[in-house]
Amino acid sequence: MVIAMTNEFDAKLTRLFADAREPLDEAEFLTALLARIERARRARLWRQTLIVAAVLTVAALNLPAALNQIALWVHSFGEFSSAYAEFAVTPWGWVMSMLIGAWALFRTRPARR
Amino acid sequence: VIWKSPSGTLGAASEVAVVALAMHGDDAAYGELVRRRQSAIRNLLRHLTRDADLADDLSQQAFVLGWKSIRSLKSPAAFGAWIRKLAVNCWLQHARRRKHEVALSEALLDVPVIPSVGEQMDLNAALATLAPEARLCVVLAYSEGMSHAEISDSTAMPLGTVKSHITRGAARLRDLLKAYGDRNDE
Repeated sequence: MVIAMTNEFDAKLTRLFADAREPLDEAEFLTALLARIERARRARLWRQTLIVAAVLTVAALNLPAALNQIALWVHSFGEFSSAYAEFAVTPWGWVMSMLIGAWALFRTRPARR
Repeated sequence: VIWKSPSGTLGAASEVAVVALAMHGDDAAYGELVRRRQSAIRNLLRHLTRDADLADDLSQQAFVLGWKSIRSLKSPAAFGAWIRKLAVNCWLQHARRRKHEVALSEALLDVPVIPSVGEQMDLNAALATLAPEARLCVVLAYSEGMSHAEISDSTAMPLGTVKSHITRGAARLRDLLKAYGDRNDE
């Protein structure tokens, strides 16, 4: 009995909600929404512009230091390569080079096939 | 962007196709989606807020959020549920900001609101007497036709809590709207 009453009421409540749905005038709503979206679009554009400007500023400020660091790395690599070149022409250097080459071949699998 | 009148092609297109266009940045397609969904979202929020202006404001917030994040939508078919969830979240955030209002609503639970003789309690007035969470569950179940599981998933409330809110909320509405229903049945 209780269940039947509840179901009956559920149907009535569903009908009440359906009746309460009213077609709403969309023109004013859409105009206001469009204005909001335009504001959001402008704000997003400003934010993106500021982020790009900040990134460019930071990059420009750090560019000399970054270039110096890169030059140092290139210089160190150059010194290391010339020292390695002198070592590689000795018998021990030749052996080491062969070992390194064999290890590289082994790691890259062609030797295992 | 021309939003005020539906273009022939978009107006006749399926929602999934329009959503797919909107997801690729087509503002006219998003406008068409707003036109199709605005009435349902505004009605839903009117049930939840019982304030037409506030409901429209929250609806606009939801649609702006939707415009910003539609690219993150996983499936075009899920647009309806997604925009409804955004609208409900906007309302929940608003309710949290207005804790005093929420406290007042909860306090109303203890006060018997019974229409006097000849007075007709309308649906939104009756809904306003429910606690916000209960109101949300009842509206989603009866107005939007969502299942208990869908409501639980959408609101992040436990399934048992959702069932309890709906049962108690519907019982309370039954008491409050008895006169209304009887009158309509005559």
